[in-house]
Amino acid sequence: MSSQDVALVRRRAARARALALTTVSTAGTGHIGADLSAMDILCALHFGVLRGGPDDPDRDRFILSKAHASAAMYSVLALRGILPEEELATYGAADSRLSTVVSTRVPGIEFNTGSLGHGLSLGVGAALAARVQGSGRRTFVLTGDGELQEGSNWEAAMLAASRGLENLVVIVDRNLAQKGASTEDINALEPLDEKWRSFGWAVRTVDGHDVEELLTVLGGAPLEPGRPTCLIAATVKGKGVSFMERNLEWHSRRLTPDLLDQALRELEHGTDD
Amino acid sequence: MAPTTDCAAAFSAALLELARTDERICIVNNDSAETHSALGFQAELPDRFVDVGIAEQNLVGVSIGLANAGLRPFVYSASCFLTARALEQIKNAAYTNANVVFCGFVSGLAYGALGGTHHAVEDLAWMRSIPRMTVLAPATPNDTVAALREAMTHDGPVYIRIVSKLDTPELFPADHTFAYGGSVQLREGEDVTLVGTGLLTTRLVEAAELLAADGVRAGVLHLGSVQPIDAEAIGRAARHSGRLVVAEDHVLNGGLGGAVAETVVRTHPVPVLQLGVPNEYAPIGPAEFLYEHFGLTAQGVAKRVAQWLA
Repeated sequence: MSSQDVALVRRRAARARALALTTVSTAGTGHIGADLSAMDILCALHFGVLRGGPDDPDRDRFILSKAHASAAMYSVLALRGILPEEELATYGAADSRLSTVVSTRVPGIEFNTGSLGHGLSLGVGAALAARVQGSGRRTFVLTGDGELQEGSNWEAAMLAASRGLENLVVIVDRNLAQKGASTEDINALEPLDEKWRSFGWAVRTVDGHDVEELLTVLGGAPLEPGRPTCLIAATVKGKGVSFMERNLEWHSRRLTPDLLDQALRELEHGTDD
Repeated sequence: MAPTTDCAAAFSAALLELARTDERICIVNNDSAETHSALGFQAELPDRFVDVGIAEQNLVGVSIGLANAGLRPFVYSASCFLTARALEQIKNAAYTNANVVFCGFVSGLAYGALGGTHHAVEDLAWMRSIPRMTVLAPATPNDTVAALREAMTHDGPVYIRIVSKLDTPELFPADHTFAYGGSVQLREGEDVTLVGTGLLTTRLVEAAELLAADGVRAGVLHLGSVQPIDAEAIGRAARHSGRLVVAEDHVLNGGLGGAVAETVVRTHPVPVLQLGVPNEYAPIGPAEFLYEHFGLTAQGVAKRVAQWLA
């Protein structure tokens, strides 16, 4: 990985943030806090790690379990040239393909997720399929942290380790916030790393906004041979827009044109480096 | 009628035979290989046999992930756990249009004295309400194998409700084919048509013979495809005999009786007598005791039909 690779992903992430903000502002709906939280992880994966386009049967699989980050996902697909950028303006509108949690109507989306806690089982199946087919492709699942309260995740986590699925990587977007409050106040997840480790996974905590670190760790997975990899990515809900960061009101609050302008100006200044 | 045999064993033997030449076929199961006659598959094709343990939500999620890679997963589970515990995952499999065949074994009241947790008498209602889901309820071993072959040609999710633990007489030849959205008119009769699916179909054939001895001319229509349903055959039966009796080992609300009633009110309204499990939990006892309790035997059906027509 070169410094140009890192710079490219950073530029794409800044551009994708602007697209996602514009998308949800135009639509008057969406989950912008989750979009911005997950954006650097999504961009590291899609512009630096995942191999193969949507039509390649042996492509790496990516599963967005936190499907509410749909504006971020569609923005990334637009920058990949998989989805026409102008179509983002139809997000959530009548007869659009762009449901506000991701769906397979959109090329590049593997599964209909959005009911929380379903993604990891899908990923285990995808990783098992690669093994059955003798392929070296990898499967990446991005989950929210709140959705780890769903028990189905732990059924899947147990099986992945039991089968030694080293071709499977889960990234937890650990922004500590779910819809109503902190995950720790509602139904505490900590100690989260120990939970995954005790289930047999190789675990590392990373900075979910440090593109260089994400590219290095994701590119080098598995962390340990014979074990699935769990990256707990420390993130900030609303990352990149000062008035949204760590503010639970921005889980799904409407972004007015004035605030959109302010957010876009901040992003422009933030990418000078 | 031919000697009685086991639908689940016939199904699993046929699946193994197909899997020997079709490398896409795999089984995903929940620690239930022995119960559902899959030990042979597990021994011969271990790489394509995934046991997720006792975890039905993961069972279905994993199968959708396998299907995404072009494999053809057959999900093996008792229907009570599969359709109830994992219903949301099944719904999303259909939303994704995944090529997964959900095999609901030990359907109906076959678990007998284990009681209400283990009876699968709501599954037809749940499964047929899901868009894109094909729902098949074959009646005999050969019919069950034919349903398997049909499912293999189908694009999208399929639920097969499999009769287990209760032997059924064979009604069909070995080369019998299962028509998607079709039906089989097993007997003609002008006074009434007995409409069944799954386990009840063979019992209706016997009930029709009992009724004939009493001078009642009863036809028998087997609706092995519950979703989509053969509306044309139902309409024909309604016009021909003027009355329909629907029998199923399922609750009366939303199952085959519901599907048939929905069809006749749209096409050719006639009186419909629904026989099944009333909306209540079964008493405790062996499976055959429960079927007798709810009148879901040949004798029980014949008696109710005779009373209704009198």
